[in-house]
Amino acid sequence: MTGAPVALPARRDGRLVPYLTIGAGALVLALVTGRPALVALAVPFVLALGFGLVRTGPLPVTARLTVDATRLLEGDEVRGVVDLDWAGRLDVEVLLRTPAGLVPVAPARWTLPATTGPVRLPVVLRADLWGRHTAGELWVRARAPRGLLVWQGRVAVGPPLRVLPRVERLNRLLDPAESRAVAGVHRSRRIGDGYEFAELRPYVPGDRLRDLNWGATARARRPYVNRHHPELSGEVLIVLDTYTDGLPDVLARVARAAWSIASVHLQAGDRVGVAGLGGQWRRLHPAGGERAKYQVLETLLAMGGDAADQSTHNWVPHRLPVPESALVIALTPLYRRNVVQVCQDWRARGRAVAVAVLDASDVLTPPATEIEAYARRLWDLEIGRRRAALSGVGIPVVTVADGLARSAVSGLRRAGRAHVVRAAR
Amino acid sequence: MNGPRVALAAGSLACLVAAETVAVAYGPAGARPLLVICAVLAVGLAGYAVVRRDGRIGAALVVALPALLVADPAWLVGPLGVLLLAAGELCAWSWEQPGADGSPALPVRRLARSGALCGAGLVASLLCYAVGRWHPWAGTAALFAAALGTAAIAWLLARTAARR
Repeated sequence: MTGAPVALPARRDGRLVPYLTIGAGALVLALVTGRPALVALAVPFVLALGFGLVRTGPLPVTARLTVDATRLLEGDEVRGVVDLDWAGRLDVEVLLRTPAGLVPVAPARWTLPATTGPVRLPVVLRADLWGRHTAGELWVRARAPRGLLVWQGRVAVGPPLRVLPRVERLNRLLDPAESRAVAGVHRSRRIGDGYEFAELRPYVPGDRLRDLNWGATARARRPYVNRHHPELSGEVLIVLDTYTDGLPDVLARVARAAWSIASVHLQAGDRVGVAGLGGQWRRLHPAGGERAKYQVLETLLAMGGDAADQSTHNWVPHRLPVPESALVIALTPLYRRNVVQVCQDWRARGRAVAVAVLDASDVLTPPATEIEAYARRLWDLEIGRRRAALSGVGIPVVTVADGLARSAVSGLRRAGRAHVVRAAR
Repeated sequence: MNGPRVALAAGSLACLVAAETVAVAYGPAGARPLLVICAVLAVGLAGYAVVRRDGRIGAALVVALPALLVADPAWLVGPLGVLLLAAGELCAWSWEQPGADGSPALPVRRLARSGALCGAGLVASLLCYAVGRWHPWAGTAALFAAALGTAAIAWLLARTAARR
């Protein structure tokens, strides 16, 4: 087995001090009072101390956790092995503490009575939440048989796992606010060479004859030509609100939607960026191409890891710089009021913003009492008020549940504020 | 609390209650109210220890001692001490049991080891008392053993402290 051994310090068991007190106290009392019977009282405790302190000092433990895959999709299972080694016969308990995104399929706690090392223990983990996680921490608690000392501590950390969100297929794309001057699949607001009809205008010298609209020319008795939208690519900034109030399902939905939208836009030749609200400062500037796809994925995984780690979860009141030409798609459960303000600020500065509100009511436990029902209704009203505050400044808002990416797009289309012009490849 | 944990905790309490009941019953009549107070306090602390904090069992055992020290006949002191030891062991093993989601099996090996330890303690205790009771140098031998034991414990403590 490779790896340096970890020396676990010895800690006293809860029985050590009382046994010591009673044993020593009874002996001293026997000496002071001259009563031999008290020695008989001390004898069992002195015996227990004698057996219990046979082995003292730190306990070196060699441990390693290996898994058969480090790149997974949400819902996948990964198999692994825990290798442990120590010297002597000990009662050993092994615990594998997994992060929030990984769930042990079988109990990850083993009790090994009076065992000598080395031992090998199988592990099966299921990836429940996207992000970059460690495969878990290995904790060991050992005691000698009849021992009054305990050796306890973390002996190994598993390898890092990359859990990728599931990809949903989108049929259509949201239209970026302003196209860039490179060829792509979106219709530009500008007019130029392309396939999609834009307008008719009278013929001027220099126009191509193949652009002549013969019907309009015949009706107007003067030559008219068709004009077309050039097909250009756009910029999309996907903003993830990673504050989910301890509901990992919501985070997973945010991730799936973000990854779906990002991958489809990248496939269409758009430049896609990602930014996070609510966790640590993470941002990816809009970029295109195959490399950008991996960068988006890395950023999403990092955000997932941050969100799973509750200790880093504080609101960062930063002002996200948003490119003028980008369409901002905010994915949020609207649990934080600040998100509304941020989106309103973007809108006030002339950015095109669309908000997909993630409905997580299905993952909440149903209210058990009347008071809880009232509280839930008040909370629903508050979410509705926040939606209205967004709609009030002209931001298209749709509510989407699980399996949501497509419904986000279609919902925005129905709202009439986003134009979908082309089926995704 | 799962079944085995409840059983072990109940066993721990039962050992302490039994030791205190016998000690109070065989203790001097004049000091009985004081012994009863100590016994009730010890049982209360033990109850707290098995339900809330295992560290309190030490205090329970120490508070239980006065009743044992004055028990008459004197040969009872050793067996009652073994009962206290058993109470401490069972309390510790009850806390070692995993929660409701863990394996609900009794820690048979540990119980067997503790049983053997208590048995050896009982035999050694009775032997010690017997030697002290019937040997011509009764008190002297026992006190000599006590001095040796104290010195051994002191040596053990000094060794442990030096290692740290």
